[in-house]
Amino acid sequence: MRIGRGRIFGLTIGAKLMILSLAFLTIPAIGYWSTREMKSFLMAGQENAQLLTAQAVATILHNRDDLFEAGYGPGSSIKDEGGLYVSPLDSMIQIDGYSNDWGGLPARSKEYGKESLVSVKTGGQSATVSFNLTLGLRGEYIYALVRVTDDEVIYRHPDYISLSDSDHLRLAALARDGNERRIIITAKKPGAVSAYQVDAKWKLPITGAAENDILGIWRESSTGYIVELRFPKNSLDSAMKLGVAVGDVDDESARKLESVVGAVEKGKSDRLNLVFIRSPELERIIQGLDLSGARIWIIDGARRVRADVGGSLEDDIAHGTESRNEEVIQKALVGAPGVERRKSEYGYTEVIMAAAPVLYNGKVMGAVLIEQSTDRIQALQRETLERVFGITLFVFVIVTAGLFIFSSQLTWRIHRLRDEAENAIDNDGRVVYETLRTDRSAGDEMGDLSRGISALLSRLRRYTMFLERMPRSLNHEISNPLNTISTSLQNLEQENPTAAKSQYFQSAGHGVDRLRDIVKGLTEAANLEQALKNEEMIEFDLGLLAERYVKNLSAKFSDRRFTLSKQERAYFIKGSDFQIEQLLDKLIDNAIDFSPENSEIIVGLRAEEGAALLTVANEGPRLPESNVDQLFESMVSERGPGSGSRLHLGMGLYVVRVIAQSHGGGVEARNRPGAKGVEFIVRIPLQGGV
Amino acid sequence: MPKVIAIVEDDPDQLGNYADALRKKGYKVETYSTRREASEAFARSLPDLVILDIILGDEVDGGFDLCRELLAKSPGLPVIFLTDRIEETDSVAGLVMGAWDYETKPISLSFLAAKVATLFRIMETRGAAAPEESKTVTHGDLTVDEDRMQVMWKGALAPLTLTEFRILEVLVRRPGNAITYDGLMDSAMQSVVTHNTVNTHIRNIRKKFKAIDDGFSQIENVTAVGYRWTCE
Repeated sequence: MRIGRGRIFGLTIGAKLMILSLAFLTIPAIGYWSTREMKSFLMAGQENAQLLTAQAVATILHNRDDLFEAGYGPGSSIKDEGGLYVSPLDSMIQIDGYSNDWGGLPARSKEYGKESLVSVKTGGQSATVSFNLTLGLRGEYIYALVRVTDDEVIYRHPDYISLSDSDHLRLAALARDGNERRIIITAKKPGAVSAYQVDAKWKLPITGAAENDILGIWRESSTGYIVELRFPKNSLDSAMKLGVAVGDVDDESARKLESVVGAVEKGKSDRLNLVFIRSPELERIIQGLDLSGARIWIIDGARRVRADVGGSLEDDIAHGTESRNEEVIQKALVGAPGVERRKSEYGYTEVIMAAAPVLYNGKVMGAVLIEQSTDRIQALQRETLERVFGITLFVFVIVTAGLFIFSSQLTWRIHRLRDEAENAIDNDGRVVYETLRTDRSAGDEMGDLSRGISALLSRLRRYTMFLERMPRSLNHEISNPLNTISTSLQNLEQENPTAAKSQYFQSAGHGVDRLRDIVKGLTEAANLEQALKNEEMIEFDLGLLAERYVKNLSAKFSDRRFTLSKQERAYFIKGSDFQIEQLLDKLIDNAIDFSPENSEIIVGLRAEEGAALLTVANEGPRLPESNVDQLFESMVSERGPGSGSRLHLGMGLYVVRVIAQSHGGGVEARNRPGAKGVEFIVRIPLQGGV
Repeated sequence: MPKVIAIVEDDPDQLGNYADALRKKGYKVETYSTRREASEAFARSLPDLVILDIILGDEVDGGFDLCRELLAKSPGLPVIFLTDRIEETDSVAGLVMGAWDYETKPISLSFLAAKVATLFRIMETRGAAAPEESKTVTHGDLTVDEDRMQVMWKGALAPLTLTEFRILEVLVRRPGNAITYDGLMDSAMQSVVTHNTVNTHIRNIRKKFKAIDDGFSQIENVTAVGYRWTCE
């Protein structure tokens, strides 16, 4: 962009400051970057914390095989066996056939139906019964709640020995001695049930004696019947295998076993289920670790949940973690603690999971999983980001606005200073005023500059004044000794008339005369400006003046021809007629000096663009192009071949210029186009611009 | 008794030349080179006419200061200033009530002597003759007393210098007619006279008349010729 009026191209200070201020954009950028770093840091921190917690919890559980039932090592493959979950029971269970004391557990229990068909009568197709099994553990007992959906409830015939010709429950477990123990639970009528150990075919009792340790109540329900049972935990061996099935008989007379549905996975009809007791002890241990927003799982080697605390209901307890085979879990189960992140189901938060192995004698028996969402971190990051960004943006805007205002003000001050400095010196180089007002008392560099320029102008003015006074001082200095010589010569003449005739006396006199003329010229120039100020400016017709003047010229100067070339009209100007005469005197003198004898000098007058142009043209030598302007500065003299006896100090042209300028115009010199010689053009504004 | 002329000039050569020239004319001349010297002498006795150089030594206005001193003691004392420029006398133009004039350097000794003689004559005339007896010419509001060489405008005395009086005299000799610059220059009696000088004198004359009468415009410039006095 252009600066000022020059041809120098560059950026303004304002633009430079604006570009620099872009650097401030780094502030919000840094702010943003630092919040991202903070987030990573916090995430890493949370991961670490979670991992440490997992490891700490795992450490507590090291070698606590009692909590894990070490038999369930990695060898157990979850795929082959179904699982029966035994949940810890908070409250006392009343064996009354009602499920209200089971809390929310029955609602989450698994339903076994068609897919869990164990056997079906010949000719039969599918299961005729289904049931819902809820298992709980409290104290020494395992409690079972079996809600059977059966359209025909057939009770045991009191006279029949066979236990499987009525609706019945089947329990199978491995006894402590390793044998499979099969128990049929049946009732003759609603109320207390009887349990008998039976043979492998599930038909006949072995001993006929009831199993006393199994306590249960059979109650009819709207959909079928409900059996609430209790048996000692110890009746299951360490292998913790249990099978539960329901046998269905629908015909009271035929008493045929229609179908047997078992709590098994599809296709694994005759296998016993692994019973997974969620370890209440484990849960008690980790209960105190309830971290808000975090979920702690303790799984065993087969990835079944043994305890869990805290967290959301995102994962169904019944599902456990069989479906969760994330890498970190796998790694933990081979002994390597680790931590990983995954996107949560809802999409925008991340969840961190830490896993640490629980060891038994150096072998992995389970793992501690801690899962926590990072939504707090995210929220914190977002908040901080907003705040930081907001603040930094605000700061940026303020700073930029401040810089903008500052630079505008600075630029304005600079412009003002420049303008004032420019105008301090007029076109002639004269100092108009020497003290700049802009920033005169400012305390900064601008103030320095302003005062510096003022000092400079002062010095310049003093120098110019000295120069300007020089003619006057010279005049004064010269006139005194000149006077001495002159008066001495005059007295000499009086005293000694003979001596006065001596040629030396004469030549001395000439010298004095010449000096006197010089003094006269100096005085005139020195007094000119003063005289111009004192002159009265009146309106007069320049045309008339020119006419009269030229008329007189021929009388005065016989060896030149004078012509007036004037456009007919009135040329009213405001000024001093006397001074214009003087101006013409000087120009004519100059023209005479530089023109050959009997040549023509033309005085012209015409109007152009609201000004009168008064011209004096003479034949003679042309001007050298180089210093045309300097002609008008005093002390410069162009002496041509025809310079004659007239005094030249160049003062004449200087006077012309001063007079022209004091009339609001100027003077120009040029070589005459098309003719040999020189032309001087004086421009004076016309009154009214016409 | 010969008249006593006091000359105050700091350059001894010039001082000597003036004194010699005037003594030859028969005057008694007392010379002083500094203001103090002159001041002390004037405290004792006053001269009949005083010629003052303006710049005396270090004192730029030494001549003017002396003039004030003298005029305080003797208001009608004739004074001739030796100046570089005519403008300098503007500052004392209002002070001098008596006959006075100035000469610019380089001085013509014969002009100086002539002016001294004229001034003495005027003083005598002004002192001696009764007002009615002097030769006066009237043009409208202007009264020119040729003996006393005094000019009155609308009854008020205009304090013109000798030179100015002469110029005015020439102008009103043929009122309504233009007098050329040359004609006016001759009456100035100065060795260095230009159109500019004449113009300055005319300007000073106008100023003095305007001090009496604001609407004074009797002196007109005639383009490329000179000036003329108009009686409307």
